Amino acid sequence: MDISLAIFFVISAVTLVACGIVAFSKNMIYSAFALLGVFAGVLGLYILLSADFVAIVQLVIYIGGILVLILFAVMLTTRIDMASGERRLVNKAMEPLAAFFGIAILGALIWKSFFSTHWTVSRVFYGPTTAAIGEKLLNEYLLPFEIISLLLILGLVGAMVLGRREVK
Amino acid sequence: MPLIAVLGAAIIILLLISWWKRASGELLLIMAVAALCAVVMFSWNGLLSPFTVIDVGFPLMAAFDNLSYLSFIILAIASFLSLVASYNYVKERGQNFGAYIVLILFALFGGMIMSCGTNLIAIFIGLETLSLSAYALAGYNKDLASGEASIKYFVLGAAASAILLLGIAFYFGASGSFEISNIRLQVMNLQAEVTNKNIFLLSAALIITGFGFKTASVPFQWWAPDVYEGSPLPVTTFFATAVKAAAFVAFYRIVSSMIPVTGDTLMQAFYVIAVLTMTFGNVCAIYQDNVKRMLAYSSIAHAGYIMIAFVFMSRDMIAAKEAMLFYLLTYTVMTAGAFACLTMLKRKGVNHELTDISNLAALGKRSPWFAFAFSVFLLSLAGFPPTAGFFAKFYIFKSAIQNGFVNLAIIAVINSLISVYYYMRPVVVMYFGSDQLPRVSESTDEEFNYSTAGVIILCMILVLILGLFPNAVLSMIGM
Repeated sequence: MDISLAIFFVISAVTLVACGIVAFSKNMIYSAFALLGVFAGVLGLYILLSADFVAIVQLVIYIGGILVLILFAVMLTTRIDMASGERRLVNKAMEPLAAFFGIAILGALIWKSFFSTHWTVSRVFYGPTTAAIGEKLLNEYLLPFEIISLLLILGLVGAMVLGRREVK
Repeated sequence: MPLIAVLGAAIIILLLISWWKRASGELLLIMAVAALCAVVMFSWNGLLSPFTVIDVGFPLMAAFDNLSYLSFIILAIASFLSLVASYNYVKERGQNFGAYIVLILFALFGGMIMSCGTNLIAIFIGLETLSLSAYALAGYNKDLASGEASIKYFVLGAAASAILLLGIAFYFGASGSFEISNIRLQVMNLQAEVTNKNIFLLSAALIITGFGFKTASVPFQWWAPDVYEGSPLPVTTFFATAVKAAAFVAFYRIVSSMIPVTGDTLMQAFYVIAVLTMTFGNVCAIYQDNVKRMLAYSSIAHAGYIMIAFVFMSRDMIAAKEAMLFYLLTYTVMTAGAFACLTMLKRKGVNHELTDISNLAALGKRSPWFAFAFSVFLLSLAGFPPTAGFFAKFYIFKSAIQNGFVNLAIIAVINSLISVYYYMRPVVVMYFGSDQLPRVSESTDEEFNYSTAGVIILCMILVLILGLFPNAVLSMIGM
């Protein structure tokens, strides 16, 4: 057995367990901390795929930024750890049913298409990818790249519109 | 050029409102309208004399063909109608009109990118630009319903975008490129290794899910009634017209490029979606007492009619394009008119929208012209002959029959018969409803609202022109 394959399975297992905790934990804080495991696991997968830039971005933005923000939000919100997560639903069976159908349909589609495809395995080349990504962004994908900056402005304007108090 | 006009106007207005706090709403509105006129003019020129795109050193990821130009025009008209109709609406509530214009223009820009993009990345970013402004616009009225609409739209929209993105990723996996125009060249390639085709179909399914959400077609329509009802009325107009039109055009572009690979496989999916969508929309609309909510369900039903064009697309792509564009244009005009009529309804000193059907009672006596205009829009939505709605439906059903989908056309006709019932209800209430219901004064009693009235008259003229001379517009679309 290839060593990288073993590493892959270990990382996947850790990620999946963390995902389970995030989804099923009754306590909000446990969920928030388990999210760390999820992000770290995905980071490990990126490294295995030799996507070094994406891995660093994952570390800086998700673990360093978003996770910390979520933790702050959880801790600053009063009594969120006691929120039981109960909701009033019109029909109790609806939620699991919808989830089941969603997973079943999507899973069946992916299952079917994956096992009817011949995958060509290529050797992973471990090397820096940052330069290549930069070239692509500023040459081939310049237009989407610029529009994304507009998207950010738009996000700011939208947040301002929704967040501020009306001045009469 | 049309893109630059919109973008420039949006940014100038954004800077203007941040520096000059007292900038009057009229000035900003005139600037925005000028930009929209420029869009229509440039698109019209482009339509008449297609220019070759200058090589700018990086891929433009956009096609400037008559599909893009016509959809630019439709989107500009839709934004124009919702901007002008909202002038009084926003002013009465003391809201910030500048930010509103900026959001509409950015949304328009996103929609234009979507409708001319030939690269899935560009289309996706256009879609996000459109959606992000739509989320903010939905919450523009800061009451409970509006907030609910915004949050609901945001959460569900984000999920739909994620699914769409997954579909795009699989598309890349199957075809090795994000381009959707060069896929025809790869057909040989794909058919040689049929094994890849399943991944391609998977990506098609996910992309259909994502766009099905944006176009509010069954089974992805649950958000639509709540969001349409909760949003401010002019914004609902924008959702029902511009957002839907942009989503349909981008959807058309993607699906038409997939057809060489998928063949008739997608046809069955669209068949089911079309039948479910129109039936669901029409049947649910029957039970609504709120006219705004009724129009939301009717917008679902109309999405179902447009989906018919996707069913016969694999047989006759040109007819599908023409039928879809004509339908989108007429639907934009008549829906904007109907919503503008609702905007006119208001009571002195009350700021919330009066959209319950009882508010329409005896309107025929109090202001006959207004009631007449509203009736024309409703008749057009139902598809009565002298109006635009009839020809839009007629054209789409005719193409369906020509391509051998007689059953589908019969189902659609039955559906439009169902829709006559609920479209006639407000008309009956307006002309024959008793005056005993809560006394409601609409706007002609107090101040006459020029901007909204202008929109209503304009829509009315357009509906009648499209209904009386459909050939002129159709020949324009067919150029």
